[in-house]
Amino acid sequence: MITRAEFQDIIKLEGQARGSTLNTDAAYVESQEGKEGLHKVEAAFRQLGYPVEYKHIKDMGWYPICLRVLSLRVIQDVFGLKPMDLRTMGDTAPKFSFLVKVFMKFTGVSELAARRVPGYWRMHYSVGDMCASEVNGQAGYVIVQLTDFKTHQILCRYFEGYFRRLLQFSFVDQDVEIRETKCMFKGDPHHEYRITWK
Amino acid sequence: MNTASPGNNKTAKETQRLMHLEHDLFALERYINDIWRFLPVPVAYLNPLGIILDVSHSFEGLLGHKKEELVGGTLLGLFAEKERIKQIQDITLKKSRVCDHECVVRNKAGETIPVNVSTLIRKDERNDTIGYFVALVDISQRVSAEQALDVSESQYRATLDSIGDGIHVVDKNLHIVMVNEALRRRLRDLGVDIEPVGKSIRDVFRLSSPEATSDYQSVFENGELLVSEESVKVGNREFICEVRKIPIFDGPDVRQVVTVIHDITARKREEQIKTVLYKISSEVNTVKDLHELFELIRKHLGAIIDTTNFFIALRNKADRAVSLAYSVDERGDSESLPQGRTLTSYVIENNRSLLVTENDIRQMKRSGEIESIDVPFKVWLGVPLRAKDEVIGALVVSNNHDPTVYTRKDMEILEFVSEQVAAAVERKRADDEVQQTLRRLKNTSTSIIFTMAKILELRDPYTAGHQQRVARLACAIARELGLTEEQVDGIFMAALIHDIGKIYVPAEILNRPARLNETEMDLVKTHPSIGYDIVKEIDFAQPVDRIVVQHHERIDGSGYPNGIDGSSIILEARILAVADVVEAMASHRPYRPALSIDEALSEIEKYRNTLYDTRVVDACLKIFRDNNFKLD
Repeated sequence: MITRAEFQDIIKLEGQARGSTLNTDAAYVESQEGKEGLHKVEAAFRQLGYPVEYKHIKDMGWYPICLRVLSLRVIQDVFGLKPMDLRTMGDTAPKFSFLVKVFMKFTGVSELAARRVPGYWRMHYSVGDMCASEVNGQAGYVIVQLTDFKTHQILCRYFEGYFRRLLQFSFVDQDVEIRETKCMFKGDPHHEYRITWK
Repeated sequence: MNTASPGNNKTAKETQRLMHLEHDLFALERYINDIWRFLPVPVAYLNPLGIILDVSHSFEGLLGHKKEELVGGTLLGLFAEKERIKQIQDITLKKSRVCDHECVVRNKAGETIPVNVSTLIRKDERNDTIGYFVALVDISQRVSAEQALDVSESQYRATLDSIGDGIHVVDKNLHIVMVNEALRRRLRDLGVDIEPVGKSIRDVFRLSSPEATSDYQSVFENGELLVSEESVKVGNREFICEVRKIPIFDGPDVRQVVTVIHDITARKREEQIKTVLYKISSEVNTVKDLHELFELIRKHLGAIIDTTNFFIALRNKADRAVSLAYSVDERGDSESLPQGRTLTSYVIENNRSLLVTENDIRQMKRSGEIESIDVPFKVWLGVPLRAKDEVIGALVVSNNHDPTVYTRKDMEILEFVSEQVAAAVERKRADDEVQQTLRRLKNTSTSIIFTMAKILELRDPYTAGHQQRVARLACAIARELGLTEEQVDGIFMAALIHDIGKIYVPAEILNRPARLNETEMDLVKTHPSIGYDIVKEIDFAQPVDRIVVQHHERIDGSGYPNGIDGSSIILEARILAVADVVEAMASHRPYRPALSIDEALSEIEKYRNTLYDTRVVDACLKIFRDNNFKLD
């Protein structure tokens, strides 16, 4: 359960996130639990004294980043999601993402694609930076670093799924695996994800 | 107080511009989302690798998968025909778009759905491919309809093919668009090797006359069924067909015409055969002689059988020799029939019909059935003429050019006709025999009459030659009056013996050169009655006995022996009366000298309509005065 202290910490977070990131949550809940599930989430928000109705959220709109974290936390609480479920939720998100559909370019893993990563991050979040620090198409891996983005640990699991799926969109019939190798909540200077494929 | 600085104004304006942009972006977002939601055509958006990034609601509906199940997967996995969709992908990448390629997708339940696939590549500002749209149009209804149509067409085709009549369909250009199996088979059998579909009916059926195609124009213009009897030529053959031209409508216009060709050649031929046989049967009894009969038979048979070479041979009853009774030969060689063991004699001797070709004839010669004679025939057909149990001859037709011109059916026809011919020949022969007998009998009768007349003349020299002269005159008057030859014959015979009754009158009375007394006269007046008694038992064809008994009767009833008046006296007797009187007055008698012919004529003229018949007197006067008739 979100405690009052946790809630206070979250709403203090600075920065904004695109509505698209919130709507993918709603789409996931609706796909898993139906509209009733979504109503439960919205009811939980009301109980927090932070009423949110997802249908009013615009994909391209900017919303407080605290709402991004709260959305995940409330859903986690309402449906009792485990870390693995959050990863799955992240994995599903690109499927519902308006931004992914409209702006993502899938040209395979290359230097050019790597250069697009920062821009793609900023398309979603007004804080933090992301870059592909190492790309090795032949060996089949890419290392992505996320800096200045210490919001909430729940996003670490979520991003694992999300980044995996994004890269999966660039491959056909190949298994893509991801692992968070560095985490700011563990004292590392930045988050780092190692994504590999066969 | 205006506290806004230029820098603040700029920031405010920029903020306002961004807010407007954001507003426009929201509107665009709603617009795009609405399109995806309400797009009736199932559409998927794929990245360049073929991975599904988005699908419309209708796409979910088509495949039964939820969006999250579809997004991230490959489109390839949805298609039943992998190679086909790869092909479409390749074409899309080359041409930027693909329209309406038929494919089959598989829905969540595993059912296949036929779809039309259209694709469109999406490129960025640098012309790099960033994805493509794939639209799937469910064509299962159309495919079902097409399958139903195929089934329907198969059934329709099977139905058409099962019909024995030839059927074809032509378009407005009179090009054949369909033929059924029966027509195709018939054309093949007739040696028409061309594929009829696509050809003009003029070429396939040799329609040269404008009428043949004007019928089609009429059906196309009027849209009305047309039934007609037509002569259809295919290859070298000609058929009589009942042709039905049935319009097929496309809206108000006639699009095509179905033609059903029912071959009625056989039926027509049967009708023609019946007509010919009926004519022969009905006319065979009306002809006067055999030659006329044979001419008639050949003429009528010619309508149904080739009678270019036609002859009828008859066997003589007495010596059994076979001779030509009638013959028509294209070479003009129809004078005589070859003797010996010929095909004709084979038919007659074996009492069996024979249909043989050139080769058959050679075989018969080799086997000795017939003698080696010239064989100019390609085909020869002969049937025996049977009268009761006897073969009296043969009816033969032959052709020197075409061995297929006669069939077994023709043999049956000739056999039927041969019965008519044989019956007619037999009847004619019987008639001839009767006529011959009658002539003989008539000659005999005439001889008897002459003999009787001679006997009388021996007893009465004054009447010698009288009866012959009376006979001549009476016949002349009868002919002048228009009596038949049979009546004239009767008058002739009656006149020759009209005084036969005088044989009972004593010779001295007959020859006395003086007038007779009343008693003697009464005796003489008995001669008509006695003459009647003598000839009445003879069965003459004409009323000779009545002419004899009435030749002295008079119109006014003053004559003898019965004193009957004109209404009771037969015409022949009235003629004989006038001739007898004229001849008697113009001849010498023992009791008076001969009068001149003018005096004799004046006498009958004087008693015209009292003693003698007016018409008979007038005729007699006419033949003497106008026709210059002489008694001697």
